[in-house]
Amino acid sequence: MTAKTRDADTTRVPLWRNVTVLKWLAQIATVAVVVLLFMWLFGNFSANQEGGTSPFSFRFLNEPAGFQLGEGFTLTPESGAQALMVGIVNTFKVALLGILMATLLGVIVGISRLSSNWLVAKFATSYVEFLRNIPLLVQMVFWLALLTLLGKLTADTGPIPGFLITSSKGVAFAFVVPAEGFFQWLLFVVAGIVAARYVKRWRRRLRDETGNETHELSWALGTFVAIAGVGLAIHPLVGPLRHLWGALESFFVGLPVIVFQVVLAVVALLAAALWIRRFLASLRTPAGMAKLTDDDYYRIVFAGAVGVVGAVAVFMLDEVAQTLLNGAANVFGGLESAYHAAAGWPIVWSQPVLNIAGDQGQFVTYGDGGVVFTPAFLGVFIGVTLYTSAFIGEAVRAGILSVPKGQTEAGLASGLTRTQLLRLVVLPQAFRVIIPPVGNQYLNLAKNTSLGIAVGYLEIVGVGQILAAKIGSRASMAVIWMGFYLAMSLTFSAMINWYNRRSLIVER
Amino acid sequence: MTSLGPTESVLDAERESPPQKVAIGAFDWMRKHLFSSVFNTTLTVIALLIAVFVTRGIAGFIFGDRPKWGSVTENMRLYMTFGYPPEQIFRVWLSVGIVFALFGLTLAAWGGGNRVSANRLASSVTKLGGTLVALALVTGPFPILWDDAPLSLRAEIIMVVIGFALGGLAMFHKARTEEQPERTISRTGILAGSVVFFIAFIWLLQVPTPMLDADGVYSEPLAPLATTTTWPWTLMAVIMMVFFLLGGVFVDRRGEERLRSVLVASWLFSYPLIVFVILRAPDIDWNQFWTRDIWIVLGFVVGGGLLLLLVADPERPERGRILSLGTVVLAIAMFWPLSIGGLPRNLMIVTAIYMLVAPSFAAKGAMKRTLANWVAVVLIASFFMIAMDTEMILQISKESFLGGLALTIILALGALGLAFPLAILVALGRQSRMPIFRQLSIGYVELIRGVPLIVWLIMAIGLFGFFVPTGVELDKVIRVLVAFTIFWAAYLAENIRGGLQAVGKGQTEAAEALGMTAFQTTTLIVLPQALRLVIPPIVGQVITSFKDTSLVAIVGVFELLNIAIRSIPAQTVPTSNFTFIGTVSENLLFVAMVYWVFTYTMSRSSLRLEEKLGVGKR
Repeated sequence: MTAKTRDADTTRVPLWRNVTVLKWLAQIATVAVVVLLFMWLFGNFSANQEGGTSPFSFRFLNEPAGFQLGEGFTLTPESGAQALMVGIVNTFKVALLGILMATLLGVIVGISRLSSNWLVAKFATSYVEFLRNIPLLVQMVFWLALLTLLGKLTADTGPIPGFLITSSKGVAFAFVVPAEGFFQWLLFVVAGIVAARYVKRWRRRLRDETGNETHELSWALGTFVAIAGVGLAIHPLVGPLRHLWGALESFFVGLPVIVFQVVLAVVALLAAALWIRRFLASLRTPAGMAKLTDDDYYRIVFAGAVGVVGAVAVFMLDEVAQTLLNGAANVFGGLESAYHAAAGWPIVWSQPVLNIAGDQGQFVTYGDGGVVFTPAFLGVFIGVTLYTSAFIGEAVRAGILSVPKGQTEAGLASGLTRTQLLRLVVLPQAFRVIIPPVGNQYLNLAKNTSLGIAVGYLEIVGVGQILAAKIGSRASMAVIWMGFYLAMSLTFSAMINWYNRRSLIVER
Repeated sequence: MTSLGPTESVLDAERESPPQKVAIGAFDWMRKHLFSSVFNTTLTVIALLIAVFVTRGIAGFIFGDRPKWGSVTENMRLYMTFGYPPEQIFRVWLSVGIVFALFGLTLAAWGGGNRVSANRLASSVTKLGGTLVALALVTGPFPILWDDAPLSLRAEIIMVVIGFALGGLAMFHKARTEEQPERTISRTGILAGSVVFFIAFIWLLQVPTPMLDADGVYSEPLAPLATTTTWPWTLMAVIMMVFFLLGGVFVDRRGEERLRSVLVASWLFSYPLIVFVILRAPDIDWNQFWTRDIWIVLGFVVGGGLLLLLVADPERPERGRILSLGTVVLAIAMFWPLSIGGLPRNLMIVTAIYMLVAPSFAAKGAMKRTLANWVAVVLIASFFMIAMDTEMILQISKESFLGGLALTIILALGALGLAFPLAILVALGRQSRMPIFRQLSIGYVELIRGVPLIVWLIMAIGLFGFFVPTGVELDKVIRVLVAFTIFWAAYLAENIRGGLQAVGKGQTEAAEALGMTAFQTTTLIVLPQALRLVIPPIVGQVITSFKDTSLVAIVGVFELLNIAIRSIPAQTVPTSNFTFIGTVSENLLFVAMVYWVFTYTMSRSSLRLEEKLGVGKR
């Protein structure tokens, strides 16, 4: 053995002992096995599908849906794509509301667990231990079962008829709702946010220059409120924009799919090329180009391959491209009809309305008015909110505990009150630890809304199942689900990573 | 140790006398922890009101008129084993017995000699008594505050008396041991006490038992458990105690280490034994076994053994590599073009895997052990392969062979067990310096974790059939098992990656400097340290997985939840003696309790394990 090793120093290493060659051989062999496995699977797939339609057809997206949905912005979707959109909007609706409430509850629970009050701490602990140790699905189904125990809906169901109605058909309550001029006003809201950002930056610069307190937050908030408030009154002024939206709509309607596909393909290839250029630039040193390792070569080849595959996929999935085009045209068409120089108030106070039918008025349903939460929505909403709040509470607790005790003591010693201490010393430091796990919990919550299928809530999985059964295929539906959730997860992770990078302690 | 410096001895002296505890009375304690300020007092009052309201609400539901608890007690067998034939129920008890026996031995092997501080036990007993009294006062009738209460006055008085008795017992103990506070109780004592308590409990327990009187009116009088429940459980408890004592004897004679290694193997072996042999009850064709199978097995034992002599020869490593690659090629050829199925092909796969690994562990003195391992692997593998490949004796449909809690446990453990090796591979791939391996692993983990489990399960049920060759039928349980395995492997891989990152680079470099191969470095140096670090997160994953099994209810597999919300509420007289239509909330409460007991126990033991391992403290 030793003699051989010494020889290797002087003679050329034989090919079958060259580590680089062996490593690449092993990797290529693995890829070959994976590719063969997938080919085998898809071979079986097409063999099993023989005689049927193409398994990965997305044609159903542009076909009439022909079924009704129980919940969503429209109950009679025109096309498969619109039905899917209803599901997506429902997913986001329950996810966003859930995130809001879960954060609120979670922060309260997390702080309560650390309370010096024995009873409050114990109470918060049992809350966490109960909720996080019981499967979410069991909880959801349980809440739904409890909701069905609520009374029958009649003309005078309370607790406060006209304002808050709880029945086995769901909960309705009075609230501000978007009205006619809402989309016009939205333009002012966006403008307000943008302006507030600039004002905040300006006030901060002023503070840094002069050293005086410039109340940047109040200024930013004031700017936003001022612009949005003025918008409430003057929003009909932007009504004429409808001509622009109309022009855009007809542009997208008239655009041939092939042009759209070419544009998308060029974008994919350009993105790959730009990435490779940036990668090469990052390797350039003052002394010239660094030597490329085989890993670097691999990355370049991989990026290029991804770009080409993306460009080819755009042409193969012309049904999807058509759907995207239609979607863009629909959005601008909708905006065109929403913009009106004579539109009324953007948001109005609205109270629940009851539709009463039957000769004795025995068939009562919720009408258009107020905000109505169906039992299915409430089951999912309460379920994910309580479940996630337990986990968020734990993250908040861990974050607060991670702040060294010396910080608290120093803060108290310098005369801060308890509230000031929490606001100025503990929370800013705890936030850095809390945000990443809480972000993950948000993502979990959003993914967990898919369990709504068990209680009949029509989010993307529920709608997808109906679609797959009626006009689509299961395989293409699976691809859509995976695409949707992957896009959501990756966006979320990117946001969390961005925050992580931004909130790193600045070190010299 | 004779020349202790002055500082050290002072430190030691300080350590020996703990700081004096200042005894505070209940009143002082309450003032400090509940009423220290106006704000605190307000909080206390609000929390107290919420606690009382919630407790009374839950108790009001449990003891109220509406729920039919008979739907839980009457259907207990359904919950536990679903459609398993009642006349074959001894197979279930045998399985439970094996698990309890192993559990008893495990308790003996890990900390059988541990002692628990009597004071800590006393304080737990005090807490238990206090909780009982509080519960009784809140849920029972209370003069002035409330008259109608979920709990009867009799039950309230009994609970208060028991609570005060427990508290008094602990106080008595505390007063008696004021002088020597370090008294301890042995594990054996505690376990024996628990077993006696458990047996007494199940014999005295009274549960609502459904009854129909002559007019067909339903009622639920309290009645003791049936003897078909009490006797087996008594036996199980005794078995656990007996094996705990036997384990203690074994530890005394042969040492803990020996018992531990035997136990690890036994636990691993018990899973397929219980699922494929005891519960599945294969109808093995002995005639075919003696005329055909035995020769195949012997052929593999002898042929593989001879091959092993060549493969695991440390003097000729290259020949070994080529031969082991040859076995892999042969195993692949078994699928195509030879297309030989059944036992020979499956044993060939085992051979190929063994031969691939064997050269890496080749050493001069190890040949005897390698050969012995080989014989054991072939015999055990063929036993299970033959057992799995035969029809069942039981006359039940495939769908209901497993169900209920049994399915939940078997599914969770089986998928986790299969996911674990896959997860190690993926985690290693993600840490690898080879870009394709890394990219494949990252792609796998991100793709799997990015999409919710329920979508994978729906796809497993709806699409799996299309991806296997025409004619292959897989039942639902196998499909969800595959989906769980693939899904959990991605999560486990991320946990294991954390451990791999935590192992110092110096470890790898030192191993390389000693001349170990990459494979040896990974399996003998890096993985053992990494896996030890990630035990707590892995227990967390086990808990999550256990809860996740409830999702199979959505795709129509009858585990606990599905039985609670679909089977039982649909029961009518022809399928059961009673109708339990619409009994959803009581069933769900029961199921939630079962899940809670399991997961809470696991998370508590994981905390204890964490303390014991001292992870994060080294």
